Amino acid sequence: MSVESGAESLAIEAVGLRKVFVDPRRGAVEALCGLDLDCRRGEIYGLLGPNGAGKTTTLRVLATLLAPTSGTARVDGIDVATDPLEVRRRIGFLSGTTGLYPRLSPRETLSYFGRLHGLEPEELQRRTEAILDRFGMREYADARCESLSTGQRQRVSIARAVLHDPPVLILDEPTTGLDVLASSAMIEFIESRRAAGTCVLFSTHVLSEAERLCDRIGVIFRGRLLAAGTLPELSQRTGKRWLADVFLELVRRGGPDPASASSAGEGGGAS
Amino acid sequence: MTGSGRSAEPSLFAATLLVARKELVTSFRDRQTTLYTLVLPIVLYPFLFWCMIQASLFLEGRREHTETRLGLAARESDLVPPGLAESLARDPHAVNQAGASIQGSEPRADPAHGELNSLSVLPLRAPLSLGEACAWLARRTGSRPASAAIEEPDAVLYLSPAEDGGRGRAEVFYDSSSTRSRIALARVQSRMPVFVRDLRARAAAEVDPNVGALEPFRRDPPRNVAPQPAMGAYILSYILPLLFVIMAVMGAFFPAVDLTCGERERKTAETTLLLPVPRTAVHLGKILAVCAAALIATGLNLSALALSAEHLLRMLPANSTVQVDVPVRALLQVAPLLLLFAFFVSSVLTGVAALARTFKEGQALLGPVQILFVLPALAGALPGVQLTPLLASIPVVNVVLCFRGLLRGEPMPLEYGITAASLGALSIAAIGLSLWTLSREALLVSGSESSWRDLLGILRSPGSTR
Amino acid sequence: MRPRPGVRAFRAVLAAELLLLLRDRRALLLAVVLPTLLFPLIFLGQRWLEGASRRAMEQRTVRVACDLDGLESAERLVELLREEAPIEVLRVDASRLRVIDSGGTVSPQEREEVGRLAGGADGVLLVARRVGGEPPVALRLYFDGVNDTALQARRRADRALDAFQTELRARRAEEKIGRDPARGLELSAVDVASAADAGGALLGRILPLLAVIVLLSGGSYVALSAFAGEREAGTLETLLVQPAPAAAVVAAKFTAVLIAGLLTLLLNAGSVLLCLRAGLGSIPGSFVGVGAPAGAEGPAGLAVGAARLLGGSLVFLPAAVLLCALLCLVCGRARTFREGQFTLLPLMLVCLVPAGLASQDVDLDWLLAALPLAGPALALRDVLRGDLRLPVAAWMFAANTAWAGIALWHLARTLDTERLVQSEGGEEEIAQRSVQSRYALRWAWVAVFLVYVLGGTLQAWNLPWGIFMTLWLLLPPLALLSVRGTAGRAKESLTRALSLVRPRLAHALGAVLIAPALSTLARIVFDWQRSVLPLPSHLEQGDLLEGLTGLGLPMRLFLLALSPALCEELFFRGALLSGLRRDLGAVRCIAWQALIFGAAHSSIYRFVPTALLGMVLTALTLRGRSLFPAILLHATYNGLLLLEVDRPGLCWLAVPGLLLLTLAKPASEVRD
Repeated sequence: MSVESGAESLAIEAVGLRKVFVDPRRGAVEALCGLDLDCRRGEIYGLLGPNGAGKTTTLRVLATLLAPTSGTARVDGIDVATDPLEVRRRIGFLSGTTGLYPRLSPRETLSYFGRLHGLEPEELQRRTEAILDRFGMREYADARCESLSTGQRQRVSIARAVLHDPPVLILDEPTTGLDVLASSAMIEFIESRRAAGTCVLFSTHVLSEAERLCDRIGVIFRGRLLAAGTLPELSQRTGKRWLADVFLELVRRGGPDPASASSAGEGGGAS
Repeated sequence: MTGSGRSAEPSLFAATLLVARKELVTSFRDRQTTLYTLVLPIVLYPFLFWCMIQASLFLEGRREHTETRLGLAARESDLVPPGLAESLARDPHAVNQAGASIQGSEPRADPAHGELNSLSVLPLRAPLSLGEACAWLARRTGSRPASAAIEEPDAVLYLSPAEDGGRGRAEVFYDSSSTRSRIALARVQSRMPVFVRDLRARAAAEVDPNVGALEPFRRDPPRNVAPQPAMGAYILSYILPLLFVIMAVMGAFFPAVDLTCGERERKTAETTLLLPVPRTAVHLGKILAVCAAALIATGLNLSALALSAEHLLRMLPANSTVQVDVPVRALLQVAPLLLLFAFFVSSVLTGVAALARTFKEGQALLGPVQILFVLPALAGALPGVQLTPLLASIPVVNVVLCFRGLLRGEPMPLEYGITAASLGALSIAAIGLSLWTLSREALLVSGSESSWRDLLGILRSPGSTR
Repeated sequence: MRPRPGVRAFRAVLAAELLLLLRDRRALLLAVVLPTLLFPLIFLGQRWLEGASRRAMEQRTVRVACDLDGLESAERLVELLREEAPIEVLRVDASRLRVIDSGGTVSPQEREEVGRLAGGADGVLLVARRVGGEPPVALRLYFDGVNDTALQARRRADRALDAFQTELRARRAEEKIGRDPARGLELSAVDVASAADAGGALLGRILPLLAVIVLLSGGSYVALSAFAGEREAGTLETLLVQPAPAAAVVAAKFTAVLIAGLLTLLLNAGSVLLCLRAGLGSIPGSFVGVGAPAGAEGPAGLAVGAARLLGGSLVFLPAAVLLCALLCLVCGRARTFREGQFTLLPLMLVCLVPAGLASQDVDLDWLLAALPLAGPALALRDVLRGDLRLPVAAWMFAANTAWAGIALWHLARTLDTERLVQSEGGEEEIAQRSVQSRYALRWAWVAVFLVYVLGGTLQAWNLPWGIFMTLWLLLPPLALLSVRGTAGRAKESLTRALSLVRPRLAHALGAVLIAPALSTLARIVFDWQRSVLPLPSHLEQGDLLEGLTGLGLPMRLFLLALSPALCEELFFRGALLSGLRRDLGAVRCIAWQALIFGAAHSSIYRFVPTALLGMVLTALTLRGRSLFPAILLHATYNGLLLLEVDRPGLCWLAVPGLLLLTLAKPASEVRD
């Protein structure tokens, strides 16, 4: 389905992703069961789903932190399984579990990760300064991260993720735990990336954010994509007006019966 | 202070027990903790003991099969008594063993692998000056192959004359930095007395057929009148108190850090502080939990150690002469003291750990504190130190010495009383201290890591309400 | 030219790790500086305490009661005793004790009488007794072995007795034969080692132990924060989404650990050396070992040249790399800081055993040189005492570099993101593929442990019954417990999982035919082993099977040939192999079987022969897909060794045997 739309316009493309974990008590657990996903360049794609639906696993597979059990995923045209290093060069990844070094200052953090990305010293210097200004981090650029507030730390994390100007940004619940000011700054930042032609894939369970930001929304539940499309498309499909209702309706349809869920998922992918 | 007016609320004591139980249950729910406190000692000690047995067997086999060479030299050749070389080359103990194993198939020391404890004596070199004899034992020069010149001895026996012309001195030159030389020395030292005895006997027999008249008297082996169980208790009295202190301190270490800094790291500290019971109860409960965990760990470690040691003694028939019983009575007598001591250790460690913010920091803080506990215990384990009323008031030393005395069955009611009183008083002081540190407000508000200055700041900051 | 990405990442991560380490001042202080300052304190304290203890013992007034009736020159002995001041010498009458005296064991009456005469438990009693024959008088010392004062009294009385005996002997010899034939044969040991060699030898005894402790404790802090700590803080995940190869990240972290460990070692060893050189303390006498005069301490000022210290650091380098790699492995596997911390103590204890060899009187040879840690520890000692043989040292260096390489290779694979990210969820995905073998191996280690502890205890209690119970009551239940899980997961019947299927006749025959050759091989191996791993003589004398000689031959064949064949095969080639072969290839199965079957016999002397047997039996079972040929071979092999059948001619039977085994198809293929 994604072939005819042209590979070069797709920033993220996942086909039939499966991921099985083995839990010593529960046995094999299927976190993803054949998930398809495609995001275009310059598009903001929101991944919605309840806790444990597989959002984080999907994003981690795309960020090469996890290898898919089966299925393929390409980021910026590169297969995550065959060349993970190249994929990592092209993404900025941010999640609740990507921490900061408490004993490094923001400036040192940026220069450290910039060097890991292979930026030249002058270039690194230029970008660091630009980003410090852009995120308003000047006043605490040389304080240790352990002394920063949660919002300040989040900004450092974002700066860390976009320092190398990646064509694809993968954000796992970027606004969780932030206050109104910090999360609106976050939202503004995500919006600003659209203009730069970056593909932003982010997961959230704050529906208003998704409504406001996303070009397209994917609803994920029990390891499957139940539906994907623009908000009007989704409301049309479900016959509901508000995203919250759309979401509930999709989950209700997809929930109890896995068979119907898979058909809904395929329908979503095709639309 | 929260209301004691409502009857439904638990008393301080009940609340303390409640907190302690919850802390214990949660720590032992952690699979890792269970694994390391329960399973590890049971497996580790037998394994270590096994390693030690195998290593000692290996070393013994090696030592016995090491071939050594002795150079024999003298200022004058007539200083050397006849038969010396032959006698030194023979292992006096091997005769008995061969005699014992004759009814077996054949002598085991086959020529292919050399004989046991061999000390081949090189041809006599005489006359030789002292300096030349010394030089014969040429210092190996680093790259010397093991079996180089056959003429090269591992030790040199040099006989020099006295002023009246008779034999004056017998010196063994050896090189303390060479394994073979040390072994050669040990062999010469063990064989020479046998030769001397035979020599005298022979000389006496020539003069007077009444053999043995030269020995003025016989020395019987010293007779130990201590009963066997007492011997076991005596050995235990040096080991057990020290082990107890070390294990109690190590056992309290992790729970102390885990229940204070660990809780802060897991971000449950505030939840705990908001419990509707007096904060004293919470802290006391924690100390109790630490104490209980320490005692469990100590008990398990000591039992595992005892079991493996017993297993070891059974495997080694040579050591079966010492009988070590479990000193039940002494243990019962000393149990109150040990409990008090464990409580004292737990409250000190918890109090100190409470100053740290992270697990890591807590560990770094407690390391030196551990040493403070173990060093006095080492001092107390020395012979010659006796429990006086003064020493009985010094913590750690008093427990070790009191434990030691009780194991040996020495009655010491006064010292016991002073020890108990001193431990009790110190425990209360330590609890007071740890309550005080745990209730510092600054602990709640400071960042994730701190400097020494912050630490002092915490101590100076006002305490929060109980 | 721009450096390659791996190199770039390595540099960046290493710089960051070192910076983080330096930033953590308190940890640095506590982990590096404090121990360095602690050594002088410990040395001083130990010296002071031991001195105080010894002085207290020496100043204690002891009591020696004597009844020297009938002893020649008894007054002289009393005089010599009085010289051992402070001492109280009493003359008593021990005639009642002489009557009581009863052979080997001490009777309560005797104990009471000694106590009465010696004036309580603090004193010792010296009694001369008339005995028949020559010499006519026997001197006996009674003492209370559980009393420190009595032990001190005994020590002093022994000294006086030694002097008395020597004096009297010489006098007697002169009286009786005019001269003492053994005059001038009292040995005095003269150490010809140069100060540098002697000092180096002493230092070499403690430095390897110190190095292991310090490297592990000094490196542990960095290793814990670089692996487990980062994982806990989430920064490891941040790091792993960067385009840096995981191997480069691991290498950088390892290098940081190595640097920290070596730095700590340098500071600590320097502190110890300075303390020793300044005469602040001395190496405890217990490290001095055989040969030296009893109770000797090391020289106070140690003169060890810089060149030797440098050489020592060089030969110990592979061990340092290995230790740091092990440290990183342990910390990399740990999920949290705490978990890593827990495993450090066992790691240290286990590493101390081979390093402790350096403080024993054992020479570095080709075998020891190849062992990890033991080789470098001995080489370090030899360099310090100026005694290192270069070819062995080169071999040691090569072998230990290989060990370190293996550890590093494993380490490079620890930062597996799958495992790291799933830290809360439990087992990794790889576990799905090898769950059967892991499970079987876990049971196998449990069996090895139980056989050692329970079996050893039972066999020490009663050898035949112990062997019987270990084989029949311990192993089969373990085999059933273990295979139940394997069969359940594979949905097979128990007999099928245990390979209890009818074998092909050709395989059974082949197995029996190769047994003589195998037993001959075992003899050769055992003979060869005795040249590198000599048995101590008391073990050779007290043969393992001595306790069984009372049994008849059929009983011995049952206990030592038939029972092991049935029960051991059921567990090892049945249950264990059943789990292993589902996940691992033939080579790995055979390697694991060799290791575990060898370990189960819990003796270094039996390891090589049993491991070899385990390999053959595993290959046989894998080939025939039935347990019975292995049982047959095992029984025949043990039987041949027991009957001491040693006919090289029978070895030729192996040729048709091997042909049968290779040509005939496996059992299950026939059935299918």
